[in-house]
Amino acid sequence: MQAGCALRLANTYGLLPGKNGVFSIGHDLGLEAAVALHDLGMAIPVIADIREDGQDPARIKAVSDRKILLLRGWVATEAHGGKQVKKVTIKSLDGTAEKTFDCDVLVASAGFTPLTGPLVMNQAKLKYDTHTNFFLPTDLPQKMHAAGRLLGYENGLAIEASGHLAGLKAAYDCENCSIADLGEGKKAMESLAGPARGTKLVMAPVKGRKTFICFDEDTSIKNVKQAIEKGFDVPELIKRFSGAGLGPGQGGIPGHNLPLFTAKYQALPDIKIKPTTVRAPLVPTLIATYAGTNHTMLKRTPIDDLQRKDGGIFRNIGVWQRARYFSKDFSCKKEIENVRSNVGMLDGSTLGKFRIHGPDALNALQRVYVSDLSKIKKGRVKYTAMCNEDGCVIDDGVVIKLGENDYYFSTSTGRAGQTVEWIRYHTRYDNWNFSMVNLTDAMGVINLSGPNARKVLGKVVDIDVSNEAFGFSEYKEFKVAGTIPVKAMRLGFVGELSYELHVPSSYMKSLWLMLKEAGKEFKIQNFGVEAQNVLRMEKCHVILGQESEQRTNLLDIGMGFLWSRKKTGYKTVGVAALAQAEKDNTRLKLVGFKMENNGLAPRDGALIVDDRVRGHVCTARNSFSLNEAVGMALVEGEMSQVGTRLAFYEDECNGELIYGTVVETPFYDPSGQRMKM
Amino acid sequence: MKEIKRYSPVEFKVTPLKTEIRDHWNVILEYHNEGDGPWLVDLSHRTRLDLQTGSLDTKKPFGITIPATPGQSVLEKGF
Repeated sequence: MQAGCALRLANTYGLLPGKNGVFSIGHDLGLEAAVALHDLGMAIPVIADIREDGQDPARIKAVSDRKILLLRGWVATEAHGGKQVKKVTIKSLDGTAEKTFDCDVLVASAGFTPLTGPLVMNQAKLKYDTHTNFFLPTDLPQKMHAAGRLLGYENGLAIEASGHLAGLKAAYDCENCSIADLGEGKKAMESLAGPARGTKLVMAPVKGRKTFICFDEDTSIKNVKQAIEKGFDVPELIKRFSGAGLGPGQGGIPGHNLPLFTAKYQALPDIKIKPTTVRAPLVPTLIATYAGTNHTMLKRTPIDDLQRKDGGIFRNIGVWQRARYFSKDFSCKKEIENVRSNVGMLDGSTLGKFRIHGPDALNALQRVYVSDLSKIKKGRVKYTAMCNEDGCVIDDGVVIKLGENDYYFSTSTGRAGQTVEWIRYHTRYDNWNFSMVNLTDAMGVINLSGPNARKVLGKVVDIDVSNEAFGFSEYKEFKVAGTIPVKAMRLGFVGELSYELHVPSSYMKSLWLMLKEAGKEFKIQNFGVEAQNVLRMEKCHVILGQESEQRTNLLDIGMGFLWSRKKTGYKTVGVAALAQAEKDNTRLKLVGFKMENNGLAPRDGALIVDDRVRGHVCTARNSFSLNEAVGMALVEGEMSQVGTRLAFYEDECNGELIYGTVVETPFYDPSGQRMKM
Repeated sequence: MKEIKRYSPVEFKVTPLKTEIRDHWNVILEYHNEGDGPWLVDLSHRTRLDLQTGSLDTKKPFGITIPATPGQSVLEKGF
């Protein structure tokens, strides 16, 4: 326990940290704490003070009056005990003498380092001061004046006088103080104590034991040596390699000790090495802050409460709370089978939804989407994707032409927040005339999926929903009961007959309940995002972020068919990179696989290995529709051929690999008949 | 068939005193024990319009002058 903590525990909370305390200190605060705790009833067998000299004589006397053994030039080197300290060994600084004392608490303090953080953050320079053994500011920026513990002062009068002088200097800068006044302020400082001296000691005289240089991140001297031996020879690099100083203590201890040890270990002639850069927050966050009320800052869909009443089990997914399951069977067998054989409803309100209109709306869409959107016909849905400048696929969704120069489009849930900015950014020099509205929160989405979906929808709408009148990939606008405006799309993400109904959020509850009532005779059920995940995986429809990662381009995941190579003149984001990557066979490719011998599916993220890592599993599940375990994985190009045997390495598999084989995709309904029925 | 209603995303945990149905919204005109304020008012049922143009200063929708500084607001003519 640190001396300040022990003292506060006793003075503020009336609790003695122990009955029998050994002190290992390097600062007068340690002596003060020992005296105070002794007077409160703690037995103190010894105070080991790192300092040979320099102690406050009054405090030495107070220690002596209480007959406490004070050993100068000694330090604690080992604490003995398991869950609690039982005894402590102290050694002389030269390591020649050693003593062990029984105790139930070790109080340790090396003293204070000057609080230079605010100055450094404002571009002040630090230099090692051999007299005080501290890094002190030497070069303050113009019109910046420091005082007190910022400069290492600990004497009360010196702190006050330094504050007065800093004030005079600031007044002088503002032409409100004379040179004579300034001189007097400086003179007052001369007779007072300068910055306190710290200890030179960085590590105790111990060999073969762990010595920590950063208690927050458990960084030991050994870790620092390893960093230096690997070429990270300055504190800024060592910090990043070892984590020293990255904890909540804001580099308090390693900020001082790391540069000193680094200089010493490398036998540098002088300590030119600087402490690492200090960054905000300078004052650590109080534990009380973390312990306070946790405000959930997540979005809820308009039918959140209806799904909770239906037994929805919610998970935080991105910025949303979504119903992931509707039973405690997390394999979602019933939900999946219901969609495959009957009809289910899913809340898809988290999808990004946008309207873009104006004379240059099409130009803007052509800039960011890889497909040629000039060919969209009214009443049709166009599935397409966006790439970044590297051709890496960042978003997919559908685009609908509402009218002349007027489009509605959807994005993935995760990209909804960035889409407007993305399109504005990539059209910023074109002076194009278009407007965008983010309708993500204004509109909700209901997915009605399964072979009976048409029958259910037909009961609540007045339009002809036959396959001939409302076919696959078509779009319709209509009103339910003459009131609720719906933008409806025939899509097939889960591989079944499906309708995606986009509805104003305020009407979502009403339409959801109407569909439920209409679906009662079919025993319609909710399904959550995990069931959707399995259903679409069986169909090998990708979810970006799951079947892709930052480096995955459009071609890698087999979505090159979306890229219109004939579309020219729009400087479409990412297509130049796609053209370059097209002939690169070394890239990871998305493949489908089945497990051997009716084996279970590997976990998402499992590695695909031979003598090295060759890829990873994106999504894999034991499929109820197929009665076998299947999945999708990103593998090195040469392993993407159908028939290639894949070996999976899972966490904690103890080296026992499981095997599967690359197969043709999709696994389920390869001809796509079911979603077009 | 279920009655068609429109729902606000906001729900105050107090008892409504006066309500009115407007365009399928159940608009709460007054709550019990509203007190002396300040108040939060749910205006979800009101129409919101999004005006986008490169020259906002030249536009006067419904005769309203759009504030020059982003973040400012005006209340004019019931809008």
